[in-house]
Amino acid sequence: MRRWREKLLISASWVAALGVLAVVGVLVMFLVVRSANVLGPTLLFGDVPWTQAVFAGARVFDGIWPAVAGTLILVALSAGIAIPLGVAAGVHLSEYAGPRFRASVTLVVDVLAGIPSIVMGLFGYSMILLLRKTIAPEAKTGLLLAAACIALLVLPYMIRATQSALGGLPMRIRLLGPSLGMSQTQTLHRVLIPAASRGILSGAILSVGRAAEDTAVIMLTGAVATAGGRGPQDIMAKFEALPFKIFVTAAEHNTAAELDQGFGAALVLLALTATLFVGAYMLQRSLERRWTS
Amino acid sequence: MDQLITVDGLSVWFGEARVLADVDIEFRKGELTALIGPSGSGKTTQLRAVNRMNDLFPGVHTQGEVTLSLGDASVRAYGDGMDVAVLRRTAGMVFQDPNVLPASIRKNFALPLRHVLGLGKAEIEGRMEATLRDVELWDDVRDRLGDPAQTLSGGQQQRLCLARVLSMEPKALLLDEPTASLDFLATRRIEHLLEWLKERFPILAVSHSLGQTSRIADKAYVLKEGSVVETLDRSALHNAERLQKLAEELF
Repeated sequence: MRRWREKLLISASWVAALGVLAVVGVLVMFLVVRSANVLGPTLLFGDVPWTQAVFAGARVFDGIWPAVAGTLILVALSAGIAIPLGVAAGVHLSEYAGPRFRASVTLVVDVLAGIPSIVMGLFGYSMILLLRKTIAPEAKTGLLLAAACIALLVLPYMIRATQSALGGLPMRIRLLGPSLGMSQTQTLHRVLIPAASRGILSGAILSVGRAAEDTAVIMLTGAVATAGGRGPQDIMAKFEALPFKIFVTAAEHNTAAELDQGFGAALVLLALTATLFVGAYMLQRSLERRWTS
Repeated sequence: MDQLITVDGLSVWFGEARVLADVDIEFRKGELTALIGPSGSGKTTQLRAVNRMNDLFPGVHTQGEVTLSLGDASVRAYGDGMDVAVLRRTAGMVFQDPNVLPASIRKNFALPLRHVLGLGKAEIEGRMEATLRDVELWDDVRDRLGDPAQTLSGGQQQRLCLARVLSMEPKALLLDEPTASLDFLATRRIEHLLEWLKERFPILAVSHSLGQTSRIADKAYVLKEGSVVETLDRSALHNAERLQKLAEELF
């Protein structure tokens, strides 16, 4: 009876694992098939030569390049805000905070993690309204606001990942630095953070993925369907972004060709996040190699 | 001058629980001093009180004094203005389980030597080789210094830890059951090393085995429920009848 049950459990876990692979495979295949007609440089740049679009700022009206550039800059900006802040907060909570402060901040971080992204978008939007009525009548939604709201959205992942990666280190490795005469800062910097880097980086990867795909926040804080055929020129300006582009295309396409372009954009978004993940993984590997050798 | 460390009236509390009660011990160069006793008797806490490692645990409170007379002057471990980082360098520590950094063999030396002592590359390499030779590990690892330290066997890892501590040029050694996780041969190698090291530094070693203590220690303090209940000298450590009786009482 027990052996039979064990076999069932093993087969169930195999089915679950293969199921994930199958779902991802079907999704990618579907996107590839649906966008097969449009895949190629024209999907990104229309009729404009890519060098002109990328380096000379030529306007692209038929391609999704402005949205790609918008998403890349949005991700970079929000990661630039959320990762250092989140790591610092996680380090503080894990290493320096007293038990009571830690418990209350952890609760707040959990609440923050539970806030739906549409609410975060509304928050950003109301901030702008507030600013307009008070100190900055000229304030309007734009890239920086969107990046800040996205950063707020992913901040709890970063904090929690850092906190639990450090908190999960065994006591023996915590004692090692001090036993060799290292100060608390040296131990943290030279031993604990490198030893926890894998966990911290996986939080960063999760955050970047979330930042790249979120639509609800940016549609209320500065993303537009067309921003003059160029990537963001100014961090206060309105911008295009891939998830919003896909959303708008799905909702408002007029021709089959436009819909195909939407599927193409989805595939590009997927490829973009995959590239970011691989990049982060390689960065982690090289950091780890540098630390261990 | 005699090199010794004296512990006077030491009591340690973890929160409300008193783990050590008014302990007086001393250990000096030329003798290997052992701490024995059943688990939970406060041996490790006593060891960690010497280099103030207990301070790293929350809710710990220590009373009493540890005096290190290892050079021209005596210093008080719990005195005002004591830099614990310097104290921990002075009294080097080896843990029960081999506590290697999850990094290369070389990095295990380079990290503390560079960042704690501020040494340059050449000096780091020199000290690494010298101490790895001291612990008879050099020939085994000289061609694989870039390999992860975890790829060494348990006994080799423990000798690496010992070499790493020696490379910091401590003036005393604190050993927390250094052979507890090792097999017979690896244990004998470490014991052999300690015979030699005790002529260089005062050594205080927690031991889990009466047999081992009788083999290598010159003096032993028996701890029970946080107090020293008996002190054994060389002749007592070789008295089989007395040890047998002690074993029955303690374990």
